[in-house]
Amino acid sequence: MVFPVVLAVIFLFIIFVFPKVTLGLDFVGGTRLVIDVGLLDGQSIKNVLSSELGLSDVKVSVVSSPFGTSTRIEYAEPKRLSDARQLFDQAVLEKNKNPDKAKDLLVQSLSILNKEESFGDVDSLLQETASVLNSETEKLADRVLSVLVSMFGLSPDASFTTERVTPSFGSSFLGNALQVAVVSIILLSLVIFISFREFIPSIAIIEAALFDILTAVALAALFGFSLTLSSVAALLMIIGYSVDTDILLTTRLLKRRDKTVYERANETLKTGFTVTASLIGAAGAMLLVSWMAQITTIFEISAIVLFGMLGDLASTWFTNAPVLLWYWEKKHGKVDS
Amino acid sequence: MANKKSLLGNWKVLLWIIFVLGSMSVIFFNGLTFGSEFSGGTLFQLQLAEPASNDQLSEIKLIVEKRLNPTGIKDVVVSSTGQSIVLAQVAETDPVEVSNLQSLLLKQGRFESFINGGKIFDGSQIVQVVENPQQGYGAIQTENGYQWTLPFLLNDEAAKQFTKSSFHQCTQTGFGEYDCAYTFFFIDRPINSIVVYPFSVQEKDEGKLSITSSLQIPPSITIDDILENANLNLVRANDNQLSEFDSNLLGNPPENVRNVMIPSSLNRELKERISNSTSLEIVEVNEMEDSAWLVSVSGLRDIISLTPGVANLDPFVEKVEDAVPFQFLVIQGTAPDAETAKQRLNDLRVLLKSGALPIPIISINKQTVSAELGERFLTNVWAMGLLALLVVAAIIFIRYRKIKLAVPVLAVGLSEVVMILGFAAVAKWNLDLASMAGILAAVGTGVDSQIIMTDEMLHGQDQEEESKDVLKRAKRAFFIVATSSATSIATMLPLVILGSGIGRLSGFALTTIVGVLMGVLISRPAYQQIIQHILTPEEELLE
Repeated sequence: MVFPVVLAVIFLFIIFVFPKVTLGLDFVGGTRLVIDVGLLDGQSIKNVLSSELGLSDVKVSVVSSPFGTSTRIEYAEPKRLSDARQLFDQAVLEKNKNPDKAKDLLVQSLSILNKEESFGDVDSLLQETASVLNSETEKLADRVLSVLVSMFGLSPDASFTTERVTPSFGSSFLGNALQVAVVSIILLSLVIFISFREFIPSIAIIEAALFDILTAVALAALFGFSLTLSSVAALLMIIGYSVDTDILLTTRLLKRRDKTVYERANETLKTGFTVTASLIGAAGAMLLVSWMAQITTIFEISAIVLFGMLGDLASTWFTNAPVLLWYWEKKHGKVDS
Repeated sequence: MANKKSLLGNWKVLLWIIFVLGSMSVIFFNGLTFGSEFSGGTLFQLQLAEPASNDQLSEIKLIVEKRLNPTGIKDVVVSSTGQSIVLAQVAETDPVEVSNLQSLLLKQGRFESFINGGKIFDGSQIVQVVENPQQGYGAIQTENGYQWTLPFLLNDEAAKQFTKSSFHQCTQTGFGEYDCAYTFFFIDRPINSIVVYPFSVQEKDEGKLSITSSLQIPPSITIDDILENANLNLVRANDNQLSEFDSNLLGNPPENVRNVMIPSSLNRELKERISNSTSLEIVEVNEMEDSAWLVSVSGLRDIISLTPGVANLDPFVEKVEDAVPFQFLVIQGTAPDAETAKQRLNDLRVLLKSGALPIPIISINKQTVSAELGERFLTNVWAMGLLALLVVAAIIFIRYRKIKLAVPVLAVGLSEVVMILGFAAVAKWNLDLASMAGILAAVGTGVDSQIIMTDEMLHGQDQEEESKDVLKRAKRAFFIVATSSATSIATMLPLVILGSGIGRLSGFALTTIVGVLMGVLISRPAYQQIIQHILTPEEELLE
């Protein structure tokens, strides 16, 4: 019982203190450009983009796998643009309550972008600002591309993917994701309580699921993954898989009457390990292929599921099992094993 | 072999087989639609300033489609998720084109209407486009098809102008029959551009007028009529030469002119001449097979005939001073069927509103995947899924040392994939990476359940009375499987209901839920029968 508690404390430390979990593009906004060519010199790309274009927060990574090399470039907007966007976002919030203030904010936003306001109602001003912001972002993207093309002699038909998330979108994603997570956990708890109708075993199952998520997030932080929408999907998958072994354990220990409780626990250990091993194996296979083929979404999902399943080994067998045995003994008296 | 017969005779197994075969044929006949991540293309995610009502949403979707696809020839799919996010998928991957499309999305169009070369009114002068059926809006069935009516309201100034410009613009051709002048509707007429329109291109256009697919052009309309009403700053570039007038216009453009629009087929020589004689930006506008170039470059969207009534001929008013200004106007037309009538009404309604959105778009996310990469993704995802299942089968084999236990797990896992894809084909889902992940998630839970069921059945064999009872064992296994499925659904459901703001993920959750349901209702009961069937002979041997 001490072991998981210590682990949990360590995980919390990793998540919140060091190295700290970071939020990815989907939640903070920014642009990601993946080019199917190994530009190799990540550092100089970074220097050029930050010095010449004033981009903040440029991340460049070169991923090599047996299927090829690709360069991944992520950047956030320069300050001028993000300042203007912040004013714009505020204006959107104020629009209905306080149109005059919204107008003021929009005019300020436009002036940061060196554009004079044209006259009109809030809606048309809003639309105009959105349009200017958009064209500034596009111009920036064009410049980034042309810098890359001229510096590294990229052929224009290189395979690529681009992805852009505006910061306001990102923060609304995050809000929505958190809201969904809370409701999910409540619903999950309800289902577990209704199925088992016993307080302590139910709590133990939910606790195990939360521990698995904690493990997954901590390991993700440790390995330098940032959290994205795919990670949220993976975390939800973990909840589903995590409860499987716990439900199995609880049912076998509390509902079966043959053999001793310890024998049943041992037997379940084997089954549970097979279940978890299958998932780890499947996630591992996916991790390998998605790494080779460089499919980021699936790579992130399978890595996080893998982490979560490692956590599940600890939570099921070092926490849930002892808790259930203790609970059983409390209910039925000590049994000789 | 008696066993085999009994297995196929079992309704649970039969149901499973029927579902799998049904899914296969649905996939075969309907086909699967893949998202832009696999087919290549760009996905725009548009955020609205505030949540829209359902009516507003369908209006917004219509307008977004019009903005991305004004001529109706591109492949654009517009959908929405939740009340404040609209998704638009286009097959375009060229960065420049994508960025053009993106700015189109944010731009409100400028509507203008012309008659005989003079402006009658523009979008700002339309007070209201009436959408109330009680005031005449809509389509009604008549003897030979459908008649549709779109009423709208002009402000004073425009009403006066309209009455003046249309006064007596019809000629009587017979008793009660008139031949009336046409009004030309434009969106974003290129007032800030010089348009290069060589006679050679005009000649091609003359032939294309009757086949122009983006709008119906009345047979009597000529290129000159369009030119007269479009009022463009024209460079005619006769015989590949720039006349003095042309060079002057290009060299000293009017102050408001920002660029020069040229047809894409223009020969290089002329292109060079043009770019040498001007400092303005040159914009190439594509020529299309089935549409006159002049129509696309001028922004011409519709041509509507006046009626003798609005021309003050029927009833007859002699002097223009005596004509009462028409503020309330209607556009009417006929269509062969209800669908076309509705389409026509929608098009014109959006047009008159200058393509204005009821709720502004405040930001755009986008994701572009090149076609080649997308295809490779898809192949790899299949390979990955198969490999994952093989690994699971291998682990099961290692654990139980029985190949015949590993095979059903593999088969049932694959069947779940097929059934989910079958469902996707029926529901016409757009399969993207997220829904692929959902399939993997569902199959993962399936594998979990199958191992638990196998184990439950295996263990009973060498144990005491209570658990020898097959029914009891099956019941307990089912309890575990059902609880585990219920928790999976419970965790995913909030994402479907509340998570529309995070579009992609709700697709993931929905796929997972469908997969889990298919599993728990169809494939797992069948699996239990299969596994029972496989284990039974051995049990008999043991006894």
